[in-house]
Amino acid sequence: MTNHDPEHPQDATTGSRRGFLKAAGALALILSACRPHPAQAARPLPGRVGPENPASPLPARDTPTPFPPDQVPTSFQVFTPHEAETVEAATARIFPGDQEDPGAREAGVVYYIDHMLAYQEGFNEPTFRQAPFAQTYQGARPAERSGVVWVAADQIYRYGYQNVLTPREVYRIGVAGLDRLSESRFGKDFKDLSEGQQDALIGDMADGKAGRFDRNLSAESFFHNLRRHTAEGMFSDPQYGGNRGLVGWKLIGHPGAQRAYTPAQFQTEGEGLRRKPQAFVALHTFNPGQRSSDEVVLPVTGEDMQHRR
Amino acid sequence: MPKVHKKVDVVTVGAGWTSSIMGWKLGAAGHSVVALEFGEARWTNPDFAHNHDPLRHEVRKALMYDISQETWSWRPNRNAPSLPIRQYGSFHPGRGIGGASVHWTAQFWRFLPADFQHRSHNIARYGKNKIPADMTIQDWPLSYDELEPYYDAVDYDLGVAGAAGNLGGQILPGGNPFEAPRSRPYPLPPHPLTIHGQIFQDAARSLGYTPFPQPAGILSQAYRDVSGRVRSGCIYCGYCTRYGCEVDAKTSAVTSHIPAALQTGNYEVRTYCKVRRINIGPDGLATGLTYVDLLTGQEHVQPADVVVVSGYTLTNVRLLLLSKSATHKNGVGNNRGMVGKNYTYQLLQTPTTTVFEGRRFNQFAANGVTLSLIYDFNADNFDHSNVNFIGGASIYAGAGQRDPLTSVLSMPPLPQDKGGNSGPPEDGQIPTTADVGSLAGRGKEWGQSWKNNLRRNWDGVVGVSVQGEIQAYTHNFLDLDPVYKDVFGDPVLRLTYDFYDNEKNMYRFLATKTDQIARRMKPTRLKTTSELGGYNVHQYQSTHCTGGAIMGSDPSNSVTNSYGQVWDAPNVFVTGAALYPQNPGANPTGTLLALTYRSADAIRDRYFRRPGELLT
Repeated sequence: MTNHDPEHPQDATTGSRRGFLKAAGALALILSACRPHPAQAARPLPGRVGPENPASPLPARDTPTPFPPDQVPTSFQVFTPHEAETVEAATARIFPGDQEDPGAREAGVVYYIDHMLAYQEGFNEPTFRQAPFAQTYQGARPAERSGVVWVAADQIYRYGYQNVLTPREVYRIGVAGLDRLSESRFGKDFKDLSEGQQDALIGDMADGKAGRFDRNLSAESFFHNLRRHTAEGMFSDPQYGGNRGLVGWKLIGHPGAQRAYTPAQFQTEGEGLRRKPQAFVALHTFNPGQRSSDEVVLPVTGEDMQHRR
Repeated sequence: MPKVHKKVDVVTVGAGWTSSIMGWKLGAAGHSVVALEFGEARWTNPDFAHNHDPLRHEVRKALMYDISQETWSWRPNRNAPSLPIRQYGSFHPGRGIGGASVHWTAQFWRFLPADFQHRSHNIARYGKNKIPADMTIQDWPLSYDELEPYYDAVDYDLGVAGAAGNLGGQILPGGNPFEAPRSRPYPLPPHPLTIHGQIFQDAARSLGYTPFPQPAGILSQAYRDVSGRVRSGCIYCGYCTRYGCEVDAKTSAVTSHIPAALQTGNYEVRTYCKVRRINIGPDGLATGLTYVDLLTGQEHVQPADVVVVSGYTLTNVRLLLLSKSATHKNGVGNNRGMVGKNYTYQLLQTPTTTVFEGRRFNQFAANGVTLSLIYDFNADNFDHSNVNFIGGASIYAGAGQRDPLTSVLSMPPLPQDKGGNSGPPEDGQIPTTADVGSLAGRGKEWGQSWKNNLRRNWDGVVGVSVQGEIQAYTHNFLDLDPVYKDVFGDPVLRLTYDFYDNEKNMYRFLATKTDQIARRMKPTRLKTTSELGGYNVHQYQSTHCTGGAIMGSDPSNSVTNSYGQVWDAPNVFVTGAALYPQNPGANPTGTLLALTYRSADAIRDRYFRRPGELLT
């Protein structure tokens, strides 16, 4: 038996100060010889970068790692209404909750996932997409075939992410597969099942008992995708669409984006519960207007720098 | 047609830490140095000023190489297929000026005297048979004593924090009694411990071991460093590894040596410039570097008298292999097939996971150096006569900077789950900040029990970890992949690498020690995984890839001499951990900085006066 299966989650000598200041003035010039690029605009290939030279081997592309959105996502760009309801229902069983004790639904995890999928087919981290992709086998290694790299099924996990599908395709195929599974078992779409029935299906997916949704996607793999993205939506900064009201951080006692802790604070249990949780938009800008090429002297925090020895 | 620039004295690959040391030392002596950096310029302010975004930094790798353009491939052995590393896992090379020094953890070590005589020391103490035929470990071509003055200069130029354990041969309380003699104490006191770091320290001490605070490249107090600026002490914000430091407390090339180099007026950094080849003349010497301006696609040539190959380990080895010419048919430094040999790594694992039910240790705060560790089982600090391995590891617990995104997926399940099965996920890994590979969190707990577990125990899970040596073998090496190519059409570097018996036996031994210490820490429950599985690339372990262009006593066993000068092309110098014959138990950065100080001095004082091989 062979599968095109990239399994799994996630499938698949000290200078003077004066000298320094003098040099700092020349810094922008010195650094710009290849391409004028002021330091304050230094962002990893900001926005779309198109090669000016048509002979460039580089494709026009976006930065491989998007910045957080300016506006918190509150509508869907990728999911159809049916897909959104299905993903919301599934993630709400993976991380259950209600108004009193919020979970994935209350945190807006589905908005996080949709927003993530809107960027570069869902690739929000640099991902190498060159073929050939792996195909797994069990038993004897099949004959060589061009365009295929055969990897033993029990070894593929060692190679990390090898999925031929884009994250967006994973959700398209995954939601359809979940509905087929639900239809065959209970005669209804997944979103219309009772919580108990939904739990039964998710349990089977988690335990590898729900087969495949597609030659490239096992039900188990889709479960791990959902679980990972649920965690990201529950515990990432609310600017990304999930973790509304900081409910994820409040649940586990994480105070979010804090400027600093003194040793006395982090050496006293429960500091996370004493601080008011905070998203990064609430962090004041540090040293506004100052550049590290200036002489910057920051306060030493240790009101109590005594060390436990 | 490539644009050909005016010749300079020195051209370097990248504008990372070793490049900037060259730029500083050689620039100060009046030599022109150009650094070709494929990434961007970025500075503490404003680029690291608003960075408490773990999704972008820890999960999505904002400061790393863009591996959609150029990656590495891996296979466990010669008979297995290689596949590209499609998303980040095992290691995290950096992009932009300062390279990986911007996002490192800043554990700052010197190696031990015996590390430099690794082969001869082990043979002298345990006999020839202690070293298997396929284990290709070698002695370094220099001693600790030769490097000590440079280690000392680096400590004081940067402001390293720690507690001295051996000052000129005198063992001091509170420090590492196993460390090599240092000529001066650390310039700064050590960092404070976390709560769980304190628990580990007390447990280790009660067992008769000698815990000491992690030596650190993070300032514990304000300090005026080599850049001439006074930098802030750490504010323990909890966003450190994989981030740039917003207050300049974490030492990097960007905080220190790049400003110092720019100050000379002779160090020029060109950003978004990707080096593709070392150019070689008819006499077999390098004539400069060929690179591409990534924003225009224009090819450039930078002629130079000296080429410094100063990128990341894997980048350096690949560039040597790609630079084929009539005089170096298999690449620079490879006339005798030595490039790629002795590729090693560091064994960073967590054999024992403890759960302190309901405890809140504030693990989200502090950084990766607020911890305590022991050296009792590292290197040859203990008798190996009756164990079936050489080498060892440090054992520690207590790092901070733990984010939910990198830890909630791999919580040890609650005991009542899965038929009473307690303990961590199947592979024994615990959620540390390091565990952010593409398969991070293979745990499959879900539903109300997962939520309850996180609510109660998220801040009470503590790993007892080891960080140790990996030996060199004939089976592990680097070469060019026959199939996968980068965006320019050049082959990617292929890693052929796995763990062998020495690592597995050493891990089994160490797991008994982590288990012993963990029990003494008195957690609610714990689990120890005593067998080391095969190497994988999906799980983050360490960015300490070493070897592949190793230094040695002569051309028959190495690519370079002790200055990193390539035997086959003596105006090419390699810097960094690619030079290490094998990786000792300690982290590589402190040593590579000291080695670069030594090389830069030799280039300045000797090579430029009389170009040729620096034989002694």
